[in-house]
Amino acid sequence: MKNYIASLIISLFLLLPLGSQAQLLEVKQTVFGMDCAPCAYGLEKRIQKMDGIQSASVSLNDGLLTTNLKKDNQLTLKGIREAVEESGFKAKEATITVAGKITKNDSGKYVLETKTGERFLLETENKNMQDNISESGQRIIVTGKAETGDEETTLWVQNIKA
Amino acid sequence: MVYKYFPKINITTTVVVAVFVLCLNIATNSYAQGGHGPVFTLATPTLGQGELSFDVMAMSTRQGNSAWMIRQNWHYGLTEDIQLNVSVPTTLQKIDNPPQGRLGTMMGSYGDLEVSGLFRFYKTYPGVGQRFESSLLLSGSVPTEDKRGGIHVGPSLHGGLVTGYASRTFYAWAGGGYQYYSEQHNDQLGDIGYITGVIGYRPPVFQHDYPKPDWRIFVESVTEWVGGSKQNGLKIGNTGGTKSLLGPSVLGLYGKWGLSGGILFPIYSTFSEPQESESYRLNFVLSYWF
Repeated sequence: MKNYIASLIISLFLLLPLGSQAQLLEVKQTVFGMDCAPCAYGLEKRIQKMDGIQSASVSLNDGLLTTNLKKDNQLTLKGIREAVEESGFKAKEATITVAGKITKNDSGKYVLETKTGERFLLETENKNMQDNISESGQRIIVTGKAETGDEETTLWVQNIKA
Repeated sequence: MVYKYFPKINITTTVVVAVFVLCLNIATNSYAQGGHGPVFTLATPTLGQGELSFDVMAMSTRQGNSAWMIRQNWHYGLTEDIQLNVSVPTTLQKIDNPPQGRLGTMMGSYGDLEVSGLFRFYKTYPGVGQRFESSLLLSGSVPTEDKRGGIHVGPSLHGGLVTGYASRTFYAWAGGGYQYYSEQHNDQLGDIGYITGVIGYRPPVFQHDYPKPDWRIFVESVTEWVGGSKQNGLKIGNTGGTKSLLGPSVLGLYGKWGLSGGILFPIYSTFSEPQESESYRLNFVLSYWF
Protein backbone atom coordinates (compact mmCIF):
# COMPACT_ATOMS: atom_id res chain seq x y z
CA MET A 1 0.00 0.00 0.00
CA LYS A 2 2.80 2.40 0.95
CA ASN A 3 4.61 1.59 -2.28
CA TYR A 4 1.45 2.26 -4.24
CA ILE A 5 0.97 5.69 -2.63
CA ALA A 6 4.65 6.59 -3.19
CA SER A 7 4.39 5.60 -6.88
CA LEU A 8 1.22 7.67 -7.23
CA ILE A 9 2.88 10.74 -5.73
CA ILE A 10 5.96 10.39 -7.97
CA SER A 11 3.72 9.98 -11.02
CA LEU A 12 1.79 13.10 -10.13
CA PHE A 13 5.05 15.08 -9.96
CA LEU A 14 6.10 13.72 -13.34
CA LEU A 15 2.79 14.85 -14.82
CA LEU A 16 3.03 18.39 -13.44
CA PRO A 17 3.92 20.95 -16.19
CA LEU A 18 6.47 22.74 -13.97
CA GLY A 19 9.51 21.17 -15.61
CA SER A 20 8.44 22.17 -19.10
CA GLN A 21 8.26 25.90 -18.27
CA ALA A 22 11.20 27.96 -19.48
CA GLN A 23 12.45 31.30 -18.29
CA LEU A 24 14.46 34.16 -19.63
CA LEU A 25 18.05 34.30 -18.41
CA GLU A 26 19.55 37.11 -20.48
CA VAL A 27 18.30 39.71 -22.93
CA LYS A 28 20.50 41.80 -25.21
CA GLN A 29 18.08 44.31 -26.68
CA THR A 30 19.09 46.60 -29.53
CA VAL A 31 17.69 50.10 -28.98
CA PHE A 32 17.43 52.86 -31.58
CA GLY A 33 17.16 56.55 -30.68
CA MET A 34 19.38 56.94 -27.59
CA ASP A 35 21.76 59.80 -28.23
CA CYS A 36 23.03 60.99 -24.86
CA ALA A 37 23.71 60.32 -21.18
CA PRO A 38 20.25 61.04 -19.73
CA CYS A 39 18.74 58.70 -22.34
CA ALA A 40 20.93 55.88 -21.07
CA TYR A 41 20.43 56.85 -17.44
CA GLY A 42 16.64 56.90 -17.77
CA LEU A 43 16.45 53.54 -19.56
CA GLU A 44 18.91 51.86 -17.21
CA LYS A 45 17.00 53.12 -14.17
CA ARG A 46 13.64 51.97 -15.58
CA ILE A 47 14.92 48.48 -16.34
CA GLN A 48 16.73 48.08 -13.01
CA LYS A 49 13.46 48.83 -11.20
CA MET A 50 11.72 45.87 -12.86
CA ASP A 51 11.14 42.91 -10.56
CA GLY A 52 13.38 40.05 -11.60
CA ILE A 53 16.26 42.06 -13.04
CA GLN A 54 19.66 41.11 -11.63
CA SER A 55 21.66 43.65 -13.60
CA ALA A 56 21.22 46.04 -16.51
CA SER A 57 23.63 48.17 -18.49
CA VAL A 58 23.28 50.44 -21.48
CA SER A 59 25.71 51.19 -24.29
CA LEU A 60 24.98 54.38 -26.26
CA ASN A 61 27.51 53.69 -28.98
CA ASP A 62 26.27 50.16 -29.61
CA GLY A 63 22.63 51.03 -28.96
CA LEU A 64 22.42 48.02 -26.67
CA LEU A 65 20.59 47.23 -23.45
CA THR A 66 22.07 44.17 -21.71
CA THR A 67 20.08 42.57 -18.90
CA ASN A 68 20.77 39.56 -16.73
CA LEU A 69 17.68 38.18 -15.05
CA LYS A 70 17.28 36.57 -11.64
CA LYS A 71 16.45 32.94 -11.21
CA ASP A 72 12.69 32.32 -11.14
CA ASN A 73 11.94 35.74 -12.62
CA GLN A 74 8.54 36.49 -14.08
CA LEU A 75 9.79 38.78 -16.80
CA THR A 76 8.91 38.63 -20.46
CA LEU A 77 10.75 39.86 -23.52
CA LYS A 78 7.59 41.79 -24.37
CA GLY A 79 7.73 43.58 -21.00
CA ILE A 80 11.35 44.57 -21.47
CA ARG A 81 10.63 45.87 -24.97
CA GLU A 82 7.67 47.87 -23.66
CA ALA A 83 9.94 49.46 -21.06
CA VAL A 84 12.28 50.57 -23.87
CA GLU A 85 9.37 52.17 -25.74
CA GLU A 86 8.12 53.89 -22.56
CA SER A 87 11.54 55.49 -22.24
CA GLY A 88 10.98 57.08 -25.65
CA PHE A 89 13.10 54.78 -27.82
CA LYS A 90 12.60 51.96 -30.30
CA ALA A 91 13.19 48.32 -29.39
CA LYS A 92 14.66 46.51 -32.40
CA GLU A 93 16.10 43.00 -32.56
CA ALA A 94 17.04 41.09 -29.41
CA THR A 95 19.34 38.20 -28.64
CA ILE A 96 18.00 36.20 -25.73
CA THR A 97 18.95 33.21 -23.64
CA VAL A 98 16.08 31.05 -22.45
CA ALA A 99 16.23 27.94 -20.26
CA GLY A 100 13.56 25.25 -20.26
CA LYS A 101 12.23 22.04 -21.72
CA ILE A 102 11.24 21.85 -25.35
CA THR A 103 7.77 20.73 -26.33
CA LYS A 104 6.08 20.41 -29.72
CA ASN A 105 3.13 22.47 -30.85
CA ASP A 106 0.18 21.25 -32.96
CA SER A 107 2.18 21.86 -36.15
CA GLY A 108 5.02 19.72 -34.88
CA LYS A 109 7.33 22.69 -34.33
CA TYR A 110 9.52 22.94 -31.26
CA VAL A 111 8.45 25.49 -28.66
CA LEU A 112 9.80 26.86 -25.40
CA GLU A 113 7.12 28.36 -23.17
CA THR A 114 7.97 30.41 -20.06
CA LYS A 115 6.13 30.48 -16.74
CA THR A 116 4.54 33.74 -17.79
CA GLY A 117 3.09 32.16 -20.91
CA GLU A 118 5.51 33.77 -23.38
CA ARG A 119 6.12 31.32 -26.22
CA PHE A 120 9.26 31.01 -28.33
CA LEU A 121 9.02 29.06 -31.55
CA LEU A 122 12.42 27.55 -32.25
CA GLU A 123 13.77 27.84 -35.78
CA THR A 124 17.13 27.16 -37.32
CA GLU A 125 18.55 26.70 -40.80
CA ASN A 126 21.47 24.72 -39.44
CA LYS A 127 20.89 20.93 -39.85
CA ASN A 128 23.17 20.07 -36.96
CA MET A 129 21.26 22.49 -34.76
CA GLN A 130 17.97 20.89 -35.86
CA ASP A 131 19.31 17.51 -34.82
CA ASN A 132 20.41 18.92 -31.49
CA ILE A 133 16.94 20.31 -30.87
CA SER A 134 15.16 17.12 -31.79
CA GLU A 135 17.49 14.94 -29.75
CA SER A 136 17.30 17.06 -26.61
CA GLY A 137 14.49 16.10 -24.32
CA GLN A 138 15.92 17.40 -21.13
CA ARG A 139 16.20 20.95 -19.89
CA ILE A 140 18.27 23.04 -22.24
CA ILE A 141 19.53 26.55 -22.55
CA VAL A 142 18.87 28.15 -25.93
CA THR A 143 20.44 31.37 -27.22
CA GLY A 144 19.09 32.98 -30.33
CA LYS A 145 17.84 36.04 -32.16
CA ALA A 146 14.22 36.82 -31.31
CA GLU A 147 11.74 38.02 -33.92
CA THR A 148 8.55 39.16 -32.22
CA GLY A 149 5.22 38.38 -33.81
CA ASP A 150 1.58 38.92 -32.87
CA GLU A 151 1.09 35.72 -30.90
CA GLU A 152 4.48 34.23 -30.41
CA THR A 153 8.12 35.03 -30.92
CA THR A 154 10.34 33.14 -33.32
CA LEU A 155 13.72 32.35 -31.84
CA TRP A 156 16.43 31.72 -34.45
CA VAL A 157 18.65 29.35 -32.53
CA GLN A 158 22.35 30.18 -32.39
CA ASN A 159 23.43 27.92 -29.57
CA ILE A 160 22.05 25.07 -27.47
CA LYS A 161 23.44 23.84 -24.20
CA ALA A 162 22.17 20.88 -22.21
CA MET B 1 26.53 102.89 -24.12
CA VAL B 2 27.01 101.56 -20.60
CA TYR B 3 24.50 102.26 -17.89
CA LYS B 4 25.13 102.05 -14.17
CA TYR B 5 21.49 102.28 -13.10
CA PHE B 6 21.88 99.26 -10.85
CA PRO B 7 24.89 98.27 -8.79
CA LYS B 8 27.61 96.39 -10.69
CA ILE B 9 27.58 92.63 -10.42
CA ASN B 10 30.55 92.20 -8.11
CA ILE B 11 32.24 89.10 -6.77
CA THR B 12 30.06 88.98 -3.64
CA THR B 13 26.87 89.19 -5.65
CA THR B 14 28.14 86.53 -8.07
CA VAL B 15 28.89 84.16 -5.21
CA VAL B 16 25.48 84.79 -3.64
CA VAL B 17 23.78 84.06 -6.97
CA ALA B 18 25.81 80.88 -7.46
CA VAL B 19 25.04 79.63 -3.94
CA PHE B 20 21.37 80.48 -4.40
CA VAL B 21 21.32 78.53 -7.66
CA LEU B 22 22.99 75.52 -6.10
CA CYS B 23 20.79 75.60 -3.01
CA LEU B 24 17.75 75.41 -5.22
CA ASN B 25 18.88 71.85 -5.96
CA ILE B 26 18.73 72.40 -9.60
CA ALA B 27 16.73 70.57 -12.05
CA THR B 28 16.33 70.14 -15.66
CA ASN B 29 17.13 72.49 -18.36
CA SER B 30 13.83 73.39 -19.88
CA TYR B 31 15.56 73.69 -23.21
CA ALA B 32 17.58 70.53 -22.86
CA GLN B 33 14.49 68.41 -22.78
CA GLY B 34 15.79 65.03 -21.66
CA GLY B 35 19.26 66.42 -21.88
CA HIS B 36 19.39 66.99 -25.57
CA GLY B 37 18.90 70.58 -25.69
CA PRO B 38 20.16 73.88 -26.80
CA VAL B 39 19.85 76.73 -24.34
CA PHE B 40 17.71 79.34 -26.13
CA THR B 41 15.91 77.63 -28.97
CA LEU B 42 13.13 75.13 -29.60
CA ALA B 43 13.94 71.43 -29.40
CA THR B 44 11.88 68.27 -29.72
CA PRO B 45 12.86 65.70 -27.06
CA THR B 46 10.47 64.63 -24.30
CA LEU B 47 11.11 62.75 -21.07
CA GLY B 48 10.25 59.05 -20.80
CA GLN B 49 6.97 58.05 -19.21
CA GLY B 50 6.93 58.84 -15.50
CA GLU B 51 10.31 60.58 -15.56
CA LEU B 52 10.84 63.78 -13.62
CA SER B 53 13.48 66.41 -14.05
CA PHE B 54 14.10 69.84 -12.65
CA ASP B 55 16.49 72.64 -13.54
CA VAL B 56 17.56 76.04 -12.45
CA MET B 57 18.87 78.67 -14.76
CA ALA B 58 20.50 82.01 -14.14
CA MET B 59 19.68 84.34 -16.99
CA SER B 60 20.70 87.79 -17.94
CA THR B 61 19.86 90.24 -20.62
CA ARG B 62 21.01 93.76 -21.20
CA GLN B 63 18.95 96.48 -22.74
CA GLY B 64 20.59 99.59 -21.51
CA ASN B 65 20.84 98.09 -18.06
CA SER B 66 21.50 94.50 -17.06
CA ALA B 67 18.72 92.32 -15.75
CA TRP B 68 19.25 89.05 -13.90
CA MET B 69 16.69 86.36 -13.31
CA ILE B 70 16.57 82.85 -11.91
CA ARG B 71 14.16 80.33 -13.45
CA GLN B 72 13.15 77.07 -11.86
CA ASN B 73 11.65 74.51 -14.21
CA TRP B 74 9.92 71.24 -13.51
CA HIS B 75 9.38 68.66 -16.25
CA TYR B 76 7.34 65.48 -16.12
CA GLY B 77 6.87 62.78 -18.75
CA LEU B 78 3.14 61.97 -18.78
CA THR B 79 3.89 59.52 -21.57
CA GLU B 80 7.04 59.08 -23.63
CA ASP B 81 5.54 61.58 -26.10
CA ILE B 82 3.86 64.10 -23.79
CA GLN B 83 5.82 66.22 -21.38
CA LEU B 84 4.38 68.74 -18.91
CA ASN B 85 6.45 71.73 -17.80
CA VAL B 86 6.23 74.49 -15.21
CA SER B 87 8.60 77.43 -15.34
CA VAL B 88 8.78 79.87 -12.43
CA PRO B 89 10.77 83.11 -12.68
CA THR B 90 12.43 84.95 -9.83
CA THR B 91 13.78 88.37 -10.67
CA LEU B 92 17.09 89.19 -9.03
CA GLN B 93 17.91 92.42 -10.77
CA LYS B 94 15.18 94.27 -12.55
CA ILE B 95 15.29 96.84 -15.30
CA ASP B 96 12.54 99.36 -15.99
CA ASN B 97 12.10 98.45 -19.62
CA PRO B 98 12.96 94.79 -20.17
CA PRO B 99 13.28 93.52 -23.72
CA GLN B 100 10.21 92.15 -25.40
CA GLY B 101 10.66 88.61 -26.61
CA ARG B 102 10.84 85.09 -25.28
CA LEU B 103 14.23 85.01 -23.59
CA GLY B 104 14.13 81.27 -23.90
CA THR B 105 11.66 79.90 -26.36
CA MET B 106 10.68 76.93 -24.24
CA MET B 107 10.19 78.66 -20.93
CA GLY B 108 8.35 81.92 -21.15
CA SER B 109 8.98 85.58 -21.52
CA TYR B 110 10.73 87.86 -19.08
CA GLY B 111 8.86 87.68 -15.75
CA ASP B 112 6.14 85.22 -16.87
CA LEU B 113 5.22 82.09 -14.98
CA GLU B 114 4.50 79.54 -17.67
CA VAL B 115 2.83 76.14 -17.78
CA SER B 116 3.28 74.17 -20.98
CA GLY B 117 2.83 70.85 -22.66
CA LEU B 118 5.22 69.41 -25.23
CA PHE B 119 3.69 66.81 -27.51
CA ARG B 120 6.04 64.74 -29.66
CA PHE B 121 3.64 63.80 -32.43
CA TYR B 122 6.10 62.33 -34.89
CA LYS B 123 9.17 60.17 -34.37
CA THR B 124 11.24 57.81 -36.42
CA TYR B 125 14.45 55.99 -35.61
CA PRO B 126 16.79 55.53 -38.57
CA GLY B 127 19.51 53.78 -36.59
CA VAL B 128 21.53 53.42 -33.40
CA GLY B 129 21.56 56.75 -31.57
CA GLN B 130 19.43 58.52 -34.19
CA ARG B 131 16.00 60.13 -34.12
CA PHE B 132 13.94 62.33 -36.41
CA GLU B 133 11.06 63.87 -34.51
CA SER B 134 8.60 66.73 -34.42
CA SER B 135 6.90 68.29 -31.45
CA LEU B 136 4.17 70.78 -30.66
CA LEU B 137 4.51 73.15 -27.70
CA LEU B 138 1.43 74.79 -26.16
CA SER B 139 1.61 77.04 -23.12
CA GLY B 140 -0.14 79.62 -21.04
CA SER B 141 1.52 82.18 -18.83
CA VAL B 142 0.67 84.67 -16.14
CA PRO B 143 2.89 87.64 -15.34
CA THR B 144 4.60 87.88 -11.97
CA GLU B 145 4.46 91.67 -12.05
CA ASP B 146 1.70 94.19 -12.62
CA LYS B 147 3.58 96.27 -15.17
CA ARG B 148 6.41 95.70 -17.58
CA GLY B 149 8.04 98.73 -19.12
CA GLY B 150 5.22 100.84 -17.72
CA ILE B 151 2.53 98.74 -19.43
CA HIS B 152 0.07 96.50 -17.58
CA VAL B 153 0.85 92.88 -18.41
CA GLY B 154 -1.85 90.29 -18.96
CA PRO B 155 -1.80 86.50 -19.26
CA SER B 156 -0.62 85.07 -22.56
CA LEU B 157 -1.08 82.05 -24.77
CA HIS B 158 1.71 80.55 -26.82
CA GLY B 159 2.11 77.86 -29.43
CA GLY B 160 5.23 76.55 -31.12
CA LEU B 161 6.19 73.83 -33.59
CA VAL B 162 9.64 72.29 -33.92
CA THR B 163 11.20 69.52 -35.95
CA GLY B 164 14.67 68.11 -35.93
CA TYR B 165 17.28 65.42 -35.78
CA ALA B 166 19.36 64.04 -32.92
CA SER B 167 22.23 61.59 -33.13
CA ARG B 168 25.49 60.66 -31.47
CA THR B 169 27.32 63.22 -33.61
CA PHE B 170 25.03 65.88 -35.05
CA TYR B 171 21.95 67.76 -33.93
CA ALA B 172 19.66 70.14 -35.76
CA TRP B 173 16.32 71.68 -34.90
CA ALA B 174 14.18 74.33 -36.60
CA GLY B 175 10.93 75.75 -35.39
CA GLY B 176 8.74 78.72 -34.78
CA GLY B 177 5.95 79.97 -32.62
CA TYR B 178 3.62 82.75 -31.64
CA GLN B 179 2.72 84.34 -28.33
CA TYR B 180 -0.36 86.47 -27.72
CA TYR B 181 -0.73 88.74 -24.69
CA SER B 182 -4.22 89.53 -23.49
CA GLU B 183 -5.34 93.05 -22.66
CA GLN B 184 -4.99 94.19 -19.06
CA HIS B 185 -6.47 97.46 -17.79
CA ASN B 186 -6.65 98.72 -21.36
CA ASP B 187 -2.96 97.99 -21.93
CA GLN B 188 -1.56 95.22 -24.08
CA LEU B 189 1.94 94.01 -24.86
CA GLY B 190 2.70 93.31 -28.48
CA ASP B 191 2.43 89.79 -29.84
CA ILE B 192 5.64 87.87 -30.44
CA GLY B 193 6.20 85.75 -33.51
CA TYR B 194 9.50 83.93 -33.78
CA ILE B 195 11.57 81.34 -35.54
CA THR B 196 14.56 79.48 -34.16
CA GLY B 197 17.30 77.32 -35.59
CA VAL B 198 20.14 75.41 -34.01
CA ILE B 199 22.86 73.02 -35.07
CA GLY B 200 24.90 70.96 -32.66
CA TYR B 201 28.00 68.82 -32.77
CA ARG B 202 29.47 66.25 -30.39
CA PRO B 203 33.20 66.02 -31.10
CA PRO B 204 34.60 62.46 -31.39
CA VAL B 205 36.62 62.97 -28.22
CA PHE B 206 33.29 63.20 -26.33
CA GLN B 207 31.61 60.30 -28.04
CA HIS B 208 32.55 58.03 -25.17
CA ASP B 209 30.05 55.52 -24.03
CA TYR B 210 27.78 56.02 -21.04
CA PRO B 211 28.47 56.86 -18.26
CA LYS B 212 31.52 58.90 -19.30
CA PRO B 213 31.10 62.70 -19.61
CA ASP B 214 29.33 63.87 -22.71
CA TRP B 215 29.81 67.39 -24.16
CA ARG B 216 28.48 69.06 -27.22
CA ILE B 217 28.46 72.54 -28.75
CA PHE B 218 25.66 74.39 -30.46
CA VAL B 219 25.21 77.46 -32.63
CA GLU B 220 21.79 78.94 -31.97
CA SER B 221 19.75 81.63 -33.66
CA VAL B 222 16.48 83.35 -32.83
CA THR B 223 14.50 85.86 -34.88
CA GLU B 224 11.58 87.61 -33.23
CA TRP B 225 8.90 89.83 -34.68
CA VAL B 226 7.48 91.83 -31.80
CA GLY B 227 4.26 93.75 -32.26
CA GLY B 228 3.71 97.25 -30.98
CA SER B 229 2.24 97.67 -27.51
CA LYS B 230 -0.90 99.51 -26.50
CA GLN B 231 -1.46 101.77 -23.49
CA ASN B 232 -4.87 103.08 -22.41
CA GLY B 233 -6.22 101.55 -25.59
CA LEU B 234 -3.89 103.51 -27.84
CA LYS B 235 -1.01 102.12 -29.82
CA ILE B 236 2.35 103.27 -28.49
CA GLY B 237 4.58 104.59 -31.23
CA ASN B 238 8.07 103.23 -31.66
CA THR B 239 7.36 99.97 -29.84
CA GLY B 240 7.89 96.59 -31.37
CA GLY B 241 10.27 95.61 -34.10
CA THR B 242 12.27 92.75 -35.48
CA LYS B 243 15.45 91.32 -34.04
CA SER B 244 17.75 88.43 -34.83
CA LEU B 245 20.25 87.01 -32.40
CA LEU B 246 23.00 84.46 -32.90
CA GLY B 247 25.48 82.79 -30.58
CA PRO B 248 27.12 79.68 -29.18
CA SER B 249 26.14 77.41 -26.36
CA VAL B 250 27.58 74.31 -24.77
CA LEU B 251 25.95 71.37 -22.99
CA GLY B 252 27.76 68.92 -20.72
CA LEU B 253 26.16 65.77 -19.34
CA TYR B 254 27.37 63.24 -16.79
CA GLY B 255 24.96 60.58 -15.61
CA LYS B 256 21.96 62.40 -14.24
CA TRP B 257 23.57 65.85 -14.16
CA GLY B 258 23.74 68.44 -16.85
CA LEU B 259 25.48 71.80 -17.13
CA SER B 260 24.94 74.20 -19.98
CA GLY B 261 25.43 77.81 -20.89
CA GLY B 262 25.24 80.12 -23.82
CA ILE B 263 25.11 83.66 -25.07
CA LEU B 264 23.29 85.28 -27.97
CA PHE B 265 24.23 88.59 -29.58
CA PRO B 266 21.99 90.69 -31.80
CA ILE B 267 22.96 90.65 -35.45
CA TYR B 268 19.96 92.56 -36.75
CA SER B 269 17.42 94.90 -35.17
CA THR B 270 14.77 97.35 -36.31
CA PHE B 271 13.91 98.50 -32.81
CA SER B 272 14.16 102.26 -32.86
CA GLU B 273 14.59 105.00 -30.28
CA PRO B 274 13.52 105.46 -27.57
CA GLN B 275 13.60 101.65 -27.34
CA GLU B 276 16.99 100.34 -26.33
CA SER B 277 18.66 97.60 -28.34
CA GLU B 278 19.13 94.31 -26.61
CA SER B 279 22.84 93.81 -26.08
CA TYR B 280 22.91 90.11 -25.30
CA ARG B 281 21.09 87.17 -23.79
CA LEU B 282 23.04 85.03 -21.35
CA ASN B 283 22.00 81.79 -19.71
CA PHE B 284 23.56 79.24 -17.35
CA VAL B 285 21.69 76.07 -16.49
CA LEU B 286 22.20 73.24 -14.04
CA SER B 287 20.02 70.19 -14.59
CA TYR B 288 19.15 67.06 -12.65
CA TRP B 289 17.19 63.96 -13.68
CA PHE B 290 15.53 62.10 -10.82
